[in-house]
Amino acid sequence: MRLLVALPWIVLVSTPFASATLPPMAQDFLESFCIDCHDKASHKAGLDLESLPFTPEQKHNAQRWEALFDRVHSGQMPPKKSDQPDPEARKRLLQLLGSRLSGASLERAQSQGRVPIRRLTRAEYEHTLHDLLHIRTPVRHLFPEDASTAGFDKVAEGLSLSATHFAKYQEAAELALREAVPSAAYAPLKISDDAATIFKRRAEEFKAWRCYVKDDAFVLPSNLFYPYTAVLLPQAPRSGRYRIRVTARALHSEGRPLPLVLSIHNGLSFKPDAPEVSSWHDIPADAPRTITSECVLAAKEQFHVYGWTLPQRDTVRDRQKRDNLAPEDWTGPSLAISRIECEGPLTETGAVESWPPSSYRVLFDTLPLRKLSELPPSGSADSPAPGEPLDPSGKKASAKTDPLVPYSANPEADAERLLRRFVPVAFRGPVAESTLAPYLEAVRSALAAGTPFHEAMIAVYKSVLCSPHLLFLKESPGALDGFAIASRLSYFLWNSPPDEALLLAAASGALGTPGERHRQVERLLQDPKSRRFEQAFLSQWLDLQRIDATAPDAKLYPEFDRSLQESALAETQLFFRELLEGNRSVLECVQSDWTFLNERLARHYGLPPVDGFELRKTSLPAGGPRGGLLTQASILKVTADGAKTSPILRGKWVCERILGVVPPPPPEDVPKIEPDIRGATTIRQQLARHRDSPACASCHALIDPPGFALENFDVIGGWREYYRASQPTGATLEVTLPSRKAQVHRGPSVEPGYWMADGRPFADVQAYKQLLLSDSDALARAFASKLLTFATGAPVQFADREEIESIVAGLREERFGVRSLIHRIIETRAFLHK
Amino acid sequence: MHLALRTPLSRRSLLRAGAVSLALPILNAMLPRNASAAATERLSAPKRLLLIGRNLGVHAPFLFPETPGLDYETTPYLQYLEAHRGDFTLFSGISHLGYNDHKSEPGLFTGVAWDRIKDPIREHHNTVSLDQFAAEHLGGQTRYRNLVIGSPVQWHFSWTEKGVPVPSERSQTEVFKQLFLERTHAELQSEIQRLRSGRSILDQVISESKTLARTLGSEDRDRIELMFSSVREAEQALLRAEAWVTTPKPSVTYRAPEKDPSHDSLSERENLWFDLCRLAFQTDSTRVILLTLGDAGRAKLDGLSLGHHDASHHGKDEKKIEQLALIEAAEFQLFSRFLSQTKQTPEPSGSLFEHTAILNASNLGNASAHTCENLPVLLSGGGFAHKGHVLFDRKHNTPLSNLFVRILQQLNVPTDRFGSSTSVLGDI
Repeated sequence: MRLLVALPWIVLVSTPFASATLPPMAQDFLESFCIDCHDKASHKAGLDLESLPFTPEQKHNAQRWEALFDRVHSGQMPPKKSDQPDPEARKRLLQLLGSRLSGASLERAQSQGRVPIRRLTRAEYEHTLHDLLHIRTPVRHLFPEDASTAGFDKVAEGLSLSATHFAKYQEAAELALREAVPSAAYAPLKISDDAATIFKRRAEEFKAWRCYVKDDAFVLPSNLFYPYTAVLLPQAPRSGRYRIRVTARALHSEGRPLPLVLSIHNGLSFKPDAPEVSSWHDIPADAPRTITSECVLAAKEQFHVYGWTLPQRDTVRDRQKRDNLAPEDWTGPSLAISRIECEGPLTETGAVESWPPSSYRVLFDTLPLRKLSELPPSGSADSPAPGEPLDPSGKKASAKTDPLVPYSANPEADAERLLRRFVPVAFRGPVAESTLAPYLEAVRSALAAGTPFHEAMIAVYKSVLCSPHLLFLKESPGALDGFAIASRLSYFLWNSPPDEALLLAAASGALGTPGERHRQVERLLQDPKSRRFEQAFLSQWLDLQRIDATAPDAKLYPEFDRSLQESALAETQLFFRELLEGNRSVLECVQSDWTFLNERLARHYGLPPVDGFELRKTSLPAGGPRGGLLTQASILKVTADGAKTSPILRGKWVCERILGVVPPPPPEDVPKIEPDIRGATTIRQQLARHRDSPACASCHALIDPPGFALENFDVIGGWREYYRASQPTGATLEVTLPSRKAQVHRGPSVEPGYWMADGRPFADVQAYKQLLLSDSDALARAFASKLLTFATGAPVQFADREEIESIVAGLREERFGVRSLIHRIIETRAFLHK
Repeated sequence: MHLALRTPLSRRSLLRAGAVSLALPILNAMLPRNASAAATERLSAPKRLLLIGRNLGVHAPFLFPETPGLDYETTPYLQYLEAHRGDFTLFSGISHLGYNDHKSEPGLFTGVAWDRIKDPIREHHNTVSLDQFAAEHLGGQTRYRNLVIGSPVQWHFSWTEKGVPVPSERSQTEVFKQLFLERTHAELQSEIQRLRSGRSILDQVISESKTLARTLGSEDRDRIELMFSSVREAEQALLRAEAWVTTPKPSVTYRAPEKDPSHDSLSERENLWFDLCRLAFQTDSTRVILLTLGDAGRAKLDGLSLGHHDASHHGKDEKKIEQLALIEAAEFQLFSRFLSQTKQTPEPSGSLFEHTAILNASNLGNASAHTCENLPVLLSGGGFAHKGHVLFDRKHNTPLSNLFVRILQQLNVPTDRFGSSTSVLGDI
């Protein structure tokens, strides 16, 4: 008994740590500089180094030691007021600890994989159904939103699977299959309307709206532009890609272009006040222009063509005066449309889809579609010639009472043939006989039980679309095989499954070589499907998905309108695309001498006028505040609420997303201080109170600088010298609206400038950007980490740090090009291993 | 055979259910519908549980009185509940000990030790929430075992025993449709077929996952194992749906919502949620609901210029607190209206109110300081001996899990522990 009690004491003398596996040097360091606060008795911040073992092969233990490493590395620990280790000792500890942690991290990655098995996100699942079945039916809304972990919904840890998900996969699969297999013949949409035909489509309305036809043009006057004068095209017969072509010119516009907008409307939820703008086009005054656009429409959606109201160009505002005019005598700006053409659904190559649609052929190849009533009774030998063509016009059956269904004369053989063709594509790789067998068996037994062929097939396809082989990215620990690499590449750069070419490259083993991977990355990025990557990455990295989250207060910001928001969003998207396509430097995210502007944005930014609403790459004047992402209206809007800005929220946003600095949470044993901002009238004074409290100051020193650098930008991204107030202050500001001036209450003036965490001061946002650029590696590192997380579905781990460093070092040689970075990312161990 | 012909459930499906803990409901489903236990029990008014979760706290100085008991002095918020004095208990000095920050969301109704959930990136360390646990016992006889509805919160309020978050259905029109919209004969037929094929798809998911798991590391195999719990749950839901599919949905005299109220229409939205809860209970469509209320954004209310999240982090700024009070006062009024309506909803004995334990709580005690002590917790209805204001030690809080045990016992759920309970709360 005595011995047992004494034993721990003896151990304690020889080494005070449970982390006995740490080398003596590290133990000495901890004992000299850390143990006073982090012993059993004090265990500040919950850290008790006497009891914490060093077993970094376990993930959670490793996380504790990695946090310790980071605190010592950044100099946060030991605290400034305590004894400091000499730099050499600090360096040696970090090397020692770092290599052990890195080794353990790598070993964990090798035995378990650095990415836990992950399911597709709801967006990926939707794209997967779309690409597999050649349909465009939206299904992602059926699923609960995927949680965002480490900034992205692709991170495996956050992708939970509830019972609801399993119910919804079935619902989505059924919806998709129903769309893929047409139950009635349809006529493809194919119209080519001249002016008179356009007018006739809504003659009564157009007449009331004072539209008219003159000189072979259908004229839409702008004084009654949208929402009144919309040209609605016929509904899409089924979901798919459609092409629209409009020929028009501007009238009475003083030689300037007028905007024409193509958007999509869903007949069920017609929202005239909030159109979903699809694309803007400048219609010139001198000669007619033909614009062509392709859009994905769901069944029953329709194209909607209109001119955007341009109050600043409406020269006649007096309704009386206008009403006394004949429509033709109105001399305000108008759109003269001479022709509208529309066709679809289209195939991949752009041709109008033939009957039956490719979605059907994917599932049933050349088997004929027959009316249900005309099917021979099950088991009968009555068989038409396979692949018998069907005349769509001859099949006007009601889809509900007597739908068309696929027919097979040799159900069992056809079922097997079709499944052998479809399943490997759906499962993104070769399929073992044992995997296929249950599907074949399911059809066989259904057929044997008298289930009609079409029902048995739809049921089995449904289970293929709900299979774990499709829902999960299949990766085994170790180096990924070609098919797993193919899926990683395509879900990274397309947010969708690999296509045939990529699967073939996997099958041939070519994806095992860097040369082929380079070629495939280029091919993927050049494909229009890479828009899905841009969309998914930007909406999360930069929070653009929240662009609509707050509506600017109309009293404070009377100049805000929908066209500004659409333009701002487009600016950021085009900016990123330019970085990618032009292999431009990551550093341009902070500062660039160019951006994309249109008339509305140029006015908003106070830049030299740009004519028209199509955004174009424009050089920015030297020395101005704009350029880079941080000062784009979209970013400034998503980092504010509708009424006011907060340097804390903006600062935190910039830290996390651009600088890659995640301020650690306040230690739990520090008593919570309830913020008290009473009596502090300006935001600067409010934050000074944060700084005065040591518990708050350590993080706010990091968070506040970018926040204050952006303080000169209001909630919609306009430049400001004064805040705006909701109550009268005795002073006003003049706001220029398109057609008039408005007054808002003037608040206190903005105090620009602040200082960095290390004390370097900056006077304004331009100076702040220069300070950021002085540490270009940090910016590249932060961006590379975001991309690596998005590309692999796991946040950057300790063992990845070295790889990130070598990427950054290599990238420096390539002037930090974004496209080069993508090529480097996919060559990392992290990307090529589970 | 005889059995299979007469009932919606085949014996095969009964066997398939295996370990599924649906003993009572399965028997129930296998009875002819007109003799169902649900119908019989309706006569004696079943017990229900409604949890209302909010994630931005309530401004404590405007809520909590200083005097305990039924004679508490009223407060700016309690004045809206004056009509219900004696019918509810407000607890002060109650919380999950050790909790901290917004990340306490997943623990509000589970009460697990803080260490298990404080790092949201580490999944599966949570366990069953009060609604799911109660549903295990109360959910057997109704069309839906339980409902998880309302605006989703980042880290979820409802959790399964295995620690899988249960997503919230955010669409009111969808909830109404599920509960009350009747299907045509043809729709029913395809529904039946869909449910049957649904189960075989889930079987296939299980067997394929098992094969898949062989190529994985041990951590991934644990993840797959966890996934099975969700598949089995989905299976139970299908079985239940099959058992109920031919029973007509209850008809209610309520105008079906055509679209979901916008997120900034506070009263329209919350009233509709409350109405849906009341109707779901009244028609005995379910007996357990977890309703999440709130929207961090800016609601359309007279005089309101701040978003809820913003105002709740007021930093003691009086103007911001005034703004916060506008929102919270509106919420108390809406809640009061709901209580009145459940009181006016008659049951075979008494009113719906008396048979429904309604627990309204938030995971933050002080949103401005991000603390989780002294949570706003208000219990009403349910046949408790309500005490007005129960005042515990505001420095050394009473575990909220103790109240959860008390609620479970009131619902006749045989248990003496839940979450981090240390005993049963005896004050009500």
